[in-house]
Amino acid sequence: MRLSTRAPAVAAVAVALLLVGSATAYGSWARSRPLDSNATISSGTIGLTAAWTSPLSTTQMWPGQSRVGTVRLTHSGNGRWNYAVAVAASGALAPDTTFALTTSTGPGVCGTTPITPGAWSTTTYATGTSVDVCVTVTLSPTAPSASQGRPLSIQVTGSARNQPTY
Amino acid sequence: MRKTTKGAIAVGAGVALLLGGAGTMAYWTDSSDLDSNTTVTAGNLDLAPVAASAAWTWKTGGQTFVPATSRIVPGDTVVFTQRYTVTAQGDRLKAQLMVNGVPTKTAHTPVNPANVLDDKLVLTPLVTVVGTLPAGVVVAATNDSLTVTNPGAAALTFQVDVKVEVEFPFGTADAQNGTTQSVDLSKTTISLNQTV
Repeated sequence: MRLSTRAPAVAAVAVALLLVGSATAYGSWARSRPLDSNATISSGTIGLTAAWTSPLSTTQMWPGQSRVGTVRLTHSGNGRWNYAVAVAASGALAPDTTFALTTSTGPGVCGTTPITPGAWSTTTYATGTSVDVCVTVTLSPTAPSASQGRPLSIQVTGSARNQPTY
Repeated sequence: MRKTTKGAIAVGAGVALLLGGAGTMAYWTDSSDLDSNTTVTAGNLDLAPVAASAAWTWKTGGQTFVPATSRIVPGDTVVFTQRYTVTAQGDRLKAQLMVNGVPTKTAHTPVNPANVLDDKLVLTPLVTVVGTLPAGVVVAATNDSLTVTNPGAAALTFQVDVKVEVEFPFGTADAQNGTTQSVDLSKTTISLNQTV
């Protein structure tokens, strides 16, 4: 009889000690606060349009002659931006032509600062601004007579890369 | 031996046994109170935001960033700043300020990894004590976190400016991935956690 009444009592004490031990081992304080109730961050966009403001005509060129056209790159979206321009020529006349890219210093005015095709501009531009790029094509002075009447197709590709907003 | 004599001997032996058994169960006790001064009182640990002190800014330039209308792009970092009043009380209390439970620079844990913006954001906590640094408060140089060590029996109250930099890292060209996406950072927690 005494054993039967002691056993539950011993078990109850053991459980109580375990519970007390657990609370002591895992208790610690922490005070948390939410960052901000108005903390939804949204990303922006980037867009680029390219248009000839002064079209590049390659009709009836003769050896040694150069023609110039101006491409306007216009940024849209968010953040600042810089750009890269590349030119690709195709057609039977392409091997006899060379291209040069320069910055434009004003409407219809080409500067002398060369632009390396495919290289990102070192200048960063403000959101929503435009940049004019002059594209000069030259028919080689040594172009053979056989090049007369050959076709030439030019593709100018402008790319924009976002830069931090500030 | 007569039966009456044998019976008397048996009774005497039984009484002797009973007396011996009763003697082995006797014990003494004495009690004394632990101490007349035994009230144990817990300290305190609290982090309370100061009203109207929250602000969002662009890290570069410091212009106001408006979460509802501003749009970030790769390379941008915006900063959330909030002033808090810290209360620490405890002779041997140690506590550390954390963002999302981590005291050091950590990548934001994305809720939706398919959301590129959610996946890319990096959150960095920075702590600045307002005014003179109270005794026992250390701004850890290694992780810009706040460590309160042994503030004492009296409540130690001071203010800190907590900044959480939210960075959208500039990386390799990734077409237009991550444009026009949103991440809700309201579940991000700034906490003062007791440490050992």
